Amino acid sequence: MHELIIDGKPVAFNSGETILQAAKKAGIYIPTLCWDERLKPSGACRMCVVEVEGSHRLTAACHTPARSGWVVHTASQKVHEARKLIVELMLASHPGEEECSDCVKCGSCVLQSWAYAYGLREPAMPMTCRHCERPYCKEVCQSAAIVKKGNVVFIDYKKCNGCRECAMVCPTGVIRWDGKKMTVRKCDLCIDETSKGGLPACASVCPSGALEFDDMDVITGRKKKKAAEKIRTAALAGNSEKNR
Amino acid sequence: MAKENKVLFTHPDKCISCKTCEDACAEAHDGISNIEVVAFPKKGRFDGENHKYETVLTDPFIVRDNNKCVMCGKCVRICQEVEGRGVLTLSNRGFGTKIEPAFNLPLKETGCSFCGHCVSVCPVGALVEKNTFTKDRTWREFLLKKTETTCPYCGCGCVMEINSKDGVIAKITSPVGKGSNNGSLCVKGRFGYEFVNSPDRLKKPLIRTSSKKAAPKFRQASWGEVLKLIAKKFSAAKKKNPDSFAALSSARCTNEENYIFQKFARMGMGTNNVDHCARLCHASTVTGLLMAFGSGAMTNSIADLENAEIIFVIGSNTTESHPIIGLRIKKAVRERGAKVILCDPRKIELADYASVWMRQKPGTDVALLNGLMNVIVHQHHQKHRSFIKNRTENYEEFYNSIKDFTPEMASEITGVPAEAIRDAGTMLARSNAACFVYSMGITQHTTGVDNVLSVANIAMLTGNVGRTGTGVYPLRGQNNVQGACDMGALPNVYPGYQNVADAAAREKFEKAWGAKLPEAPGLTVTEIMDAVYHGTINTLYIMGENPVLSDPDSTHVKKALKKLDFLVVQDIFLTETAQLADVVLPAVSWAEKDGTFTNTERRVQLVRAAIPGPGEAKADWEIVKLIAETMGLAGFKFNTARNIFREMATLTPQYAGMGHGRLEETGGLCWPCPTPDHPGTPILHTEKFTRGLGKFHAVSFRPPAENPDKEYPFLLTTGRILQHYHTGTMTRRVGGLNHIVPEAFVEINPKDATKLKVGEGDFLKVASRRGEIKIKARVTERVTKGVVFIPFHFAEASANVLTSANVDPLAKIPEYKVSAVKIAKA
Repeated sequence: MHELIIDGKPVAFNSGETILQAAKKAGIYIPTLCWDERLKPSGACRMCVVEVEGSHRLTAACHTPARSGWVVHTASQKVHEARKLIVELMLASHPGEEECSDCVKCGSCVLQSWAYAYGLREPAMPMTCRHCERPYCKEVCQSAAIVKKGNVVFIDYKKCNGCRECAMVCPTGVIRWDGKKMTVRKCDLCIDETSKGGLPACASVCPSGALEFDDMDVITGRKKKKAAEKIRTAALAGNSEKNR
Repeated sequence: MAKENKVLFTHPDKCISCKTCEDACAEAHDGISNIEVVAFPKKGRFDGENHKYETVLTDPFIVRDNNKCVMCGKCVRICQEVEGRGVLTLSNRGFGTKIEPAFNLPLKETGCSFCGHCVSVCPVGALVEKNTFTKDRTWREFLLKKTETTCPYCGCGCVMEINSKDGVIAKITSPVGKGSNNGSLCVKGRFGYEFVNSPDRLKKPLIRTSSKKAAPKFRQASWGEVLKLIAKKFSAAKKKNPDSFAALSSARCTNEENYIFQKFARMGMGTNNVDHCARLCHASTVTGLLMAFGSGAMTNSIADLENAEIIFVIGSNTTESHPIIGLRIKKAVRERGAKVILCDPRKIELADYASVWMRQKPGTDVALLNGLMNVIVHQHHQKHRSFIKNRTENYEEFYNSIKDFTPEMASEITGVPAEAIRDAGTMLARSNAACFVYSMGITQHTTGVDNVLSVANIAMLTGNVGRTGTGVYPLRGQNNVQGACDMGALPNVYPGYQNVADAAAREKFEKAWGAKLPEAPGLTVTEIMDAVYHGTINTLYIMGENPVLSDPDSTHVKKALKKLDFLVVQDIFLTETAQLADVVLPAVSWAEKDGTFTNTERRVQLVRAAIPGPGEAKADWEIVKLIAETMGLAGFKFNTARNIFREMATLTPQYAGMGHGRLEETGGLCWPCPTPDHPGTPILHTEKFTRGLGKFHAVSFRPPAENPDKEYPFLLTTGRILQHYHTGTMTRRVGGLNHIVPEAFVEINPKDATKLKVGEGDFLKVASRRGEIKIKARVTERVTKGVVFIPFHFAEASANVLTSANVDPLAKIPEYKVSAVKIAKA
């Protein structure tokens, strides 16, 4: 067994294991695109680059065997800049922003979530946290700052170490970087109000009814009813036209 | 999405971008807003020329949009490294680089197996499933409900996730790192789910209104009415003579359903006449391996195949019939240099991977194996000798039977060059770890048990049992055929292979069930059909089987079923068999019920309901329970599948340590698992064989029951293809699968085709002594001269009209693999 330090955490690894495998064992998330545990690493996409102290350039974690004594940073400024550039280049020849929400993969697309995380693209509508059943952000959080209480996913800002990994995995791109406080931020569903039966701030002020706060089933049910009504009236109108 | 999960619902059409919500949020959260509203498209630093490829919509199941591709190359590598196909590639260079199959051909012409693995790894929207592609935004992946369950097709037992929405299956994915498949699925598993939401599904019980001879006419009835009718008829049959009743269980149903079904037949009806389609696929294995090892199951796990040095495959088209096990074999060859020795009359895909390929004549397997063993005994390795001495018995008799059977003699019978037999024998004798994979190619013969015994002999002779990388692999054909046998849906054993003729075992079950149980073993599937034909059985209850297509000699089966007084068929569709029934009961499919399946490696895995069943359809176990309760029988008070499993586990020693809760935690356990803290047993016979010592059997060659002659000069062999499954009730209702293989075909050698003056796609009349069918020709080198192959999935040209009902004397398995036919141009 050897040991290296990743993000200040000592991590044990077997010889031959890559930095990525070691990080995975320690529960440290490194974003990957072309890597898959069943395939030989190809190091094509460079999304998994990390900074190794003493090396003058960045290293791809997926195909670099870990060495004893290395000090690795997976979320330094330099790393984030490099990753942002990679995403930017990929987006340059990708269909435009306006098509993004029409794509089948919208919401589960890796590129989309990164584009949102680095502020390269913006969601095409007001995006609020979905408070997922299985929150990816909670799974990757290194410092256990993200917790789920009831139906609400919270960030404990005191615990957040600013690695921004939750923002990388968020499928809807609602976790944002707060440059002043050096933590991430996201919607907490105005829990003070909603726990008392009130509305969250945004929904309470929305003038056009674009933001509502209710059970998903209630809202979709209402929409379905409305659509059915529309079809029925259209059919009736069509019939009466025929009769004429 | 959980029902009580309150969400903020947003709609772009309604948002007028006043940004009041943003301000409100900021006010509530120390001046920082968590919401941002509609931003207008920004210009990126690198924006320039974009690709303008057309979206490829013409392939079945898969949609390719190269504009969205980010060139990660995952699809190319997964196709090459995991699937071993190499269909996709990065073509062109520079800006023009794109992912496409060779020459940008349609996928159907490129050797693509449509496993959909490329789609599952694509991180963006470049490769997507056609089904969700055509649907609206509410069908996005992250809005779908995911249910982890087990695949309903072959015996590999792949772990899969059903993604559903409002009771409709949207797509099927597979989690990486779980089960024996590790994220791989075949075309049937990944795309063959359309049948679940088919409009043809049975939704209400049906009662026949027309006579048996006339075209089938049914009227819908209520559950109360049909249950009363069935209870009346069954009670009358029981009163008259319990043995005039027979029940066919199903390897497609869960363990719980098989358990309750055989309990109903044995305890409720008082007969042992209960059997299922294992009789038609692996009855010879259960009989043969029981005689040799003491247990009729696969000895090692699927993952263990990758540790073998030599993989000996006989009578198994693994890559088509068990695609995920085929992947393991191909991977072992590609990555570790394992050697494949293949014995198969057809040029199947594994022939390309084989070091030695022996193309024996169908039905001559015993001669081939004896020839091989003759080579092995004459250059025996020391450590094998100690295995034979310490772990086995009856070696002398066996040795005497083969010591003079030279490869030359084997060559004469089988048509395999003696040199090839010598090579293969030498390789086997010298290897440290060899495993023996076989399947229906050797079991479905009148000499099925002999074939299986020979495989057991060769495994013991080379000392390849009970260690990692070794073992005997009888590949089970259906999702739960192992489980259905374990549950005692067989005429001669109770759950856990406890013999009905054994007084102690019978007493145990009589005590547990609180009823007198019959002593004599019951009839097998083939015998039941004969008994029906001769009028000794008048009442038949079929759960989830389609014997009209699956049993040999269809004409005979149809005639027999028409003679019945009362036939109840319980199925998800109005199958060819259901059309002959008096009462048809609507059952739910695998996606709509809870339970467990036991796969070919003895791994018990959970099946979970993902969507509600159609109309009034009920789970099979519930229907059996209702019938039993209407008949006034005690002992069927089960509310859930979990309860049935609990009772079954107390009576089945192999399953004693399992329960739904534990299976959920562990993700599946291999039996035997006798106690709640036992980790399961992936490798059998490690210290000693289940029966104590492994037993050698002297087996000599017997020819098949029906051989080609002057009048019927061709030898017909039947089997499966990758895209369809069994009698096609499920897969033939899947549009894409029908697009890939739309109709039945007969494979015929070019030499024979020239002689008969037929070309590719011409219609042929294939006739045997039992019937004739009209079928399209596929001229191919896959079969040798004088041999033709027909898959049995197609009702309009059913291969089983031609096959004979000659059975193995011990296992009663019919000889599907050899029958004599004549062929003429139609």
